[in-house]
Amino acid sequence: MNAALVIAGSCLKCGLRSKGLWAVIVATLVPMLILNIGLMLIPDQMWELAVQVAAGFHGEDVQSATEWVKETTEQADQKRELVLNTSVSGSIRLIGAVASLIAIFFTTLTNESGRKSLAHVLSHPIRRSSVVLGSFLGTLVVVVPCVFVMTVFAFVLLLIESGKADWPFFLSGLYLLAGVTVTTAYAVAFTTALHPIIGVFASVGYTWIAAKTYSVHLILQQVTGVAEHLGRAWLYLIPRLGDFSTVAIDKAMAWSMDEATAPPITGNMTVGFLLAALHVVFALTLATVSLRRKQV
Amino acid sequence: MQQDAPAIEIKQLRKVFHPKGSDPVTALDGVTLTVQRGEIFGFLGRNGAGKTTAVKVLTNMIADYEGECRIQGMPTDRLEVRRAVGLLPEVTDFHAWLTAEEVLWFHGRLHGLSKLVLSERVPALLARLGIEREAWTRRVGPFSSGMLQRLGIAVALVGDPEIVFLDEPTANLDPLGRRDVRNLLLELEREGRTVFLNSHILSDVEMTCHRVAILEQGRIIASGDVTELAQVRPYAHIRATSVPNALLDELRTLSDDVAVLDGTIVVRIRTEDDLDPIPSMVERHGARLRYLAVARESLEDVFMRMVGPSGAQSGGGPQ
Repeated sequence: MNAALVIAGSCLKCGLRSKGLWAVIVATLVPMLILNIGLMLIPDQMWELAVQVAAGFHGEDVQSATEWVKETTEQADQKRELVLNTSVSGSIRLIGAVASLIAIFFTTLTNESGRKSLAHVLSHPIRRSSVVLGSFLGTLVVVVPCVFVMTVFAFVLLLIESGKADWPFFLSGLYLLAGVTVTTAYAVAFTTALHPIIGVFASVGYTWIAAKTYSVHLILQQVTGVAEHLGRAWLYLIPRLGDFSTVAIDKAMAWSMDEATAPPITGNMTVGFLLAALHVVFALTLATVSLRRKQV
Repeated sequence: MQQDAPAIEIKQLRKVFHPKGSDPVTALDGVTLTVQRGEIFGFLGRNGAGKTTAVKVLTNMIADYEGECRIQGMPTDRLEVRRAVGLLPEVTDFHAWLTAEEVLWFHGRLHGLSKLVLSERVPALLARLGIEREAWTRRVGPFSSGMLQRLGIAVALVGDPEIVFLDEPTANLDPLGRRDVRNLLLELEREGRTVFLNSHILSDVEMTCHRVAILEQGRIIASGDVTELAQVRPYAHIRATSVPNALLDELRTLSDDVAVLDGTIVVRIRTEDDLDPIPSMVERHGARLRYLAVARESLEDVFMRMVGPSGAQSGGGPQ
């Protein structure tokens, strides 16, 4: 454990001294700022365009969203609420996506197993599992402050926008971190087992699939035969990252959400968290086995 | 650790790699050797001979192999063995975002050393390896290859190891750096440490090592004391006022190996006693002797004789 903390400490130094990482965070804050300021300043004449942008952020069909909003936002306060909700969900999706990408790329950068420094590291009296755990913890200690910085920024923007403090917004950051933890564990596994560049693509692809777990489950459920069983198993085989993002938005928009309008989640979140923990253990075990088999 | 066991013991070590899409490659084939405590042992061989693979096996980088490897009488995969071992790998890299001091702290902490110990050892090692003080607090990313090599050796020594594996320690160093490393090796010997040295630079090996083994295609083709290996077959160097063919023919009665290089007759002899008849032979053929001396083989000569420029073993050396 001590060796894992030493490796994690080195990763933290890398994060603190990496200009690229800070550039990514700042680059994330800019579109968040543009989104929020843009939504605040939208004139009534450009509402339709704004709705299309909002629908795009929600990943919904632009045409049907436009018609739905036209029907439901005739009053000014309803429009205002939609702007705020879009701002919240847009910010959270952006934070979640950027945090996942930071986790993947930072893992690739610092994971010892993909570096020429591995031989030196393994010459010390440490277990290979410590190297894996160190890379995992090292990425987490960098990603957590990143998410915190981005969440605070989005919180302040919403405070200015709405005039009230949306404290549950911070809770949403915790849900995002749960998802990013799973992403990090798989990034460590993929970049250990595969060539680092292939590991990056595998991590990004797997994270995208895991974010769409529920959609894939629904598609598989519509098919009969083996696919139907696979559809049921799918929810347990693939981590439900999409749920963390959904619940994060749900928590952050608690002031306006009711059960009718809340986005669907796959199931009981306790099960979701438990599954996420199992996936983290599985991914780190996979990474350790891969590192043991690796020719240094 | 077994106090009376040799520092390193390898018996019938065999390692076969199975690269995807190509035939298996036998990197080590029945290697057997023993390195005693406190000696500097040179491990020689051309590129791809299997030297680095042997070091990787001994430092537990490669776990699946046939045969037996022991460090101070213990299997190499034990954590206590790695506490006694320091390694400079052939190819190394450091966390570019750390300073030279931080690199040593990082590796020292991984070795399980306390902050108190490291606060004294880190500056001492950086100074010992000749790393300038102003470089201690600079990030290692832009360091030259020579500086990184010195830092790598410092990392190998940070755990105060009893056995040090150095894979090409002078490869990236200038002549001054090579001299510093040679002096360091001799210091390590005086401190009672065992050094296992992989090197292509045979003059460095000759100046520092007690014993060597020459590896070719995964097999040890010669091993022994450096001076003994070089004294297997001395040469007589003869210069005379003329070199008649009849003289060469008569010299061939002493040895099959007679050649003329730049006016000097070079005769491989068995012992120095073979020199005795040479002056009279020269005079008998109407020439006058100008110079007669015995030349020993350098380690490089031994290596070239054993391994040969084309890769085939050209001569039988002591096994």
